[in-house]
Amino acid sequence: MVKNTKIFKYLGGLILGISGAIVNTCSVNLGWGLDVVFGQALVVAGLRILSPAQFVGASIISSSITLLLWQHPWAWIIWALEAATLAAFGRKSSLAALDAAFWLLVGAPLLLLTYGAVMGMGALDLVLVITKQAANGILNVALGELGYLAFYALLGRRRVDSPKLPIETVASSSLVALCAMPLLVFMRITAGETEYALRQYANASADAAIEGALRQIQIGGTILRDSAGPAIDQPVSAIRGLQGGQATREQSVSVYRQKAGQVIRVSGRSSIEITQETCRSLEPGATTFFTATAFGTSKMTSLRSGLMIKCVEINGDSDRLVAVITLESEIAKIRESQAVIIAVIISLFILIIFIVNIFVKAIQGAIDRLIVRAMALSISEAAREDSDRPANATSEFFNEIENLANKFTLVTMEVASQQNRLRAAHIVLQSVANSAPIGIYSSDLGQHISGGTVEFSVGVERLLGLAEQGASRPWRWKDLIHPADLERVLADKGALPRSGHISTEYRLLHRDGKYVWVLDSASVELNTSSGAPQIVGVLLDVSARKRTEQQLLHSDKMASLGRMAVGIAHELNQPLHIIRMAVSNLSRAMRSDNWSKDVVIHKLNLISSQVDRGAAIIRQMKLYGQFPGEDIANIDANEAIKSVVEIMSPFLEEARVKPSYHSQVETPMIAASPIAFDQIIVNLVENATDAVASARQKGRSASKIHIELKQSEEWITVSVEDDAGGIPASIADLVFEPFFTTKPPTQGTGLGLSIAYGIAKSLGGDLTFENVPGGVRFDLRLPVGKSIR
Amino acid sequence: MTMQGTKEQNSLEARLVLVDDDAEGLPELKELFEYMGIHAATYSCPFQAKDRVLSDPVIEVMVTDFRMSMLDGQELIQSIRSALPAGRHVSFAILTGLVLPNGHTILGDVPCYGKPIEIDLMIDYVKSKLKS
Repeated sequence: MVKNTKIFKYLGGLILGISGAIVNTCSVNLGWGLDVVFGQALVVAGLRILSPAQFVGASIISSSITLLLWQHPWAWIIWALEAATLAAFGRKSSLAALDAAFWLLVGAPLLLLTYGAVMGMGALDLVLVITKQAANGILNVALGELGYLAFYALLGRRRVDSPKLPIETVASSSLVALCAMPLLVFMRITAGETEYALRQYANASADAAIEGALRQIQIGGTILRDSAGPAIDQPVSAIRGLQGGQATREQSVSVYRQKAGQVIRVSGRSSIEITQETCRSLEPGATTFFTATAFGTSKMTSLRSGLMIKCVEINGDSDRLVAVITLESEIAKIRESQAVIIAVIISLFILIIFIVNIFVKAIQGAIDRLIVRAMALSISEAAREDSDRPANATSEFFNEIENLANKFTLVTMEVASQQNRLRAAHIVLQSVANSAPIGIYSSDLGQHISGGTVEFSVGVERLLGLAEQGASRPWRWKDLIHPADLERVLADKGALPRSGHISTEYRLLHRDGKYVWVLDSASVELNTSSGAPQIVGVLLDVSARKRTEQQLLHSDKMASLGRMAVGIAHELNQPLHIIRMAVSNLSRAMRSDNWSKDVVIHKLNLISSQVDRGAAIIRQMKLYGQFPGEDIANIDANEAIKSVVEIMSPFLEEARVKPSYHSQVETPMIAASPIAFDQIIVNLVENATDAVASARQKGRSASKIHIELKQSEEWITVSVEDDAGGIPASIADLVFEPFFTTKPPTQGTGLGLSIAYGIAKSLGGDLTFENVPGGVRFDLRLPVGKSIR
Repeated sequence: MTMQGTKEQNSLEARLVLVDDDAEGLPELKELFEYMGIHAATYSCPFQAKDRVLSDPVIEVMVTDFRMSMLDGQELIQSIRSALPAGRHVSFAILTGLVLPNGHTILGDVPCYGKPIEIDLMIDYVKSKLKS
């Protein structure tokens, strides 16, 4: 991948270099052989993407075109050095400023050396070349930076991987381009007009000189050469037909008579030869001047000794008249004006770069100070003292920055204040969380329901001994739960997505191998960053409470056992008491011979009935101790209830009670032992019947026993309601206690409701009661048939 | 025998009233005392027993069961005592199926006898409370 990126970059550099070279061939002519090229701008645009070597390579490729254009290597070498300088230092500073410094310190001296000393260029031309090259170089850098800016803007979201531009670079590049472009356009437009005017003038001068020469030929005179004209290396017939005074400009015009095959040799700052093929350079439509090629084909350097030539054939003769006009001084003047304009451009560049640097530095300094202040404020309250004088140190130049600084300082102070409060609150909360006997945990909802990993707070780690050295992380919550509690807890947690909150108690494994009872209060919250549901819960160590509860339960069991023992003793003592008296009486009677067979039989029957009474108590005790759980089946509760009421009908008729029954369900299937269910219904109906009878004895008009069956999704509820006055609050807690009864001794042992309660619990249900208007309603709740447990 | 009491056993010469809502044992208890020459009236309804004690100045002793559904023995004794006219004294004793230590008393001076009773102790106590 990295290798591919490198290849792409090299390829990109190559493409940039070739593109730059192509663009360089399309030079913009500013007149009189002065051209600017913009191919380097393309390469500069890639500076921040390419490596230094790639950038320099691309620049060398791009500028190599100057070898062909100008026929010398000096511009190419200097541009390569410019690229190397930009590549080496350009990423850390403003490119425009760096390039200006390069041309000032390196480029200009090198141009002086090469163009001046080596190539022998004149002073004016040197000044023009140096300023033009520098301006062209700086402008290319500016355009290149703006090009990169445009490229960066087009990158969209992918720009994060690309370097950003400093504000200084953007500002100086924009201003440089804005200043340079109008002046260059002006030079480009005016250059053509100036050249055309000069050609027209030279053409007119040549025509006048040739016309004068022709006139002299017609009168048989000798073609004379202007005394101020150039020397003739190989003298030919000369016409001195033109007077220097005819020319308003500082050029001289010479007319030569050229015979076929002859060459006119003109000597000036440079020597040229005029053949018969070289005759149309003076036409106004011509694109070039005829010049000596002292420095290759460079238009600018050759124009230094610019000549214009016009040839006319002499009528009837094979000779031609050749007018040679020297424009050296005219071109020099034009170049002076070009040099001034370019110098202005360069000056503007330097001024812009200087001012931008100063202001950008000032703005950067102001922002840096703001940041430092903000950091200081956020770190220490002591920095508040500094807020009294924010304007003085913020900015030396701009009101806006000063105002911004003030606002920024206020906002930062507020942020710092809020941060301090938040930090303080966080510390307090953390301290509370760490010191309180609670633990906090959080987990992904799905992970948690399936018993996956959990993030624990210090409190939980302390609670479970996991904070000790050597405890491995992370912990699977499922692994820590007591196996006996696991199924129940998973079911509770599984309900979390629906309920949103649960509170349950279970045991968690301590690191020492013991289990800790915890109260887990958990709720579903949305993660503030991802928006995904997560569980946040609090664990409270309730081991001490559980121990107390177990002790209380044990005490209660012992108390219950005691009450049961007392109850058994009381119930058994009744028949024993009667038996003892009967035996005693029988014994006395037999000792005194005052007895009869009937008396003996009566006594024995009495004793037998009391024995039966005791045996019945023992049988009920056996039923009390029996918890039916093995013969659970799906039974039709309607049928079972109707059957029980039918069986009890003699008892009910005797008590003058006729229970009503209504079922809201046609076939309510119930999960229970048939015998146990019947036993519960019998006990409830008996209890209601006895209550009604008792109420009647006390003068109340009780008569109602109503049985109602309802079904919900999971439960079937059988309610038995009477109108016998209800259960007093004083004995409400004793209703399900064994041997507790309000009935006369022979009518109840106090075990009926207690047995019914025990059976209901053993079947996974419940038995409760509630006073209703006029009476009491007992509600038996048992699981529906399918939810057999 | 009904909840209304044992009407056939309430002889007028009785000086002892026996009360127990477990009516099955009352005839045997009455018979026991009568062997000792003590006539007793028996009631399974504590309210009827109270009426008899209050209305019959001959009654000197009442022996009552402790735990009864309509009115327990202690409440019965208290209600009778509070209703007795000045100058009249009735002695009481409690019978109970509860397991109690020997010599246990309630209401300060009412002895409790656990069922099945120690017959001699019971008879001795009643005798000691009957005048002549």
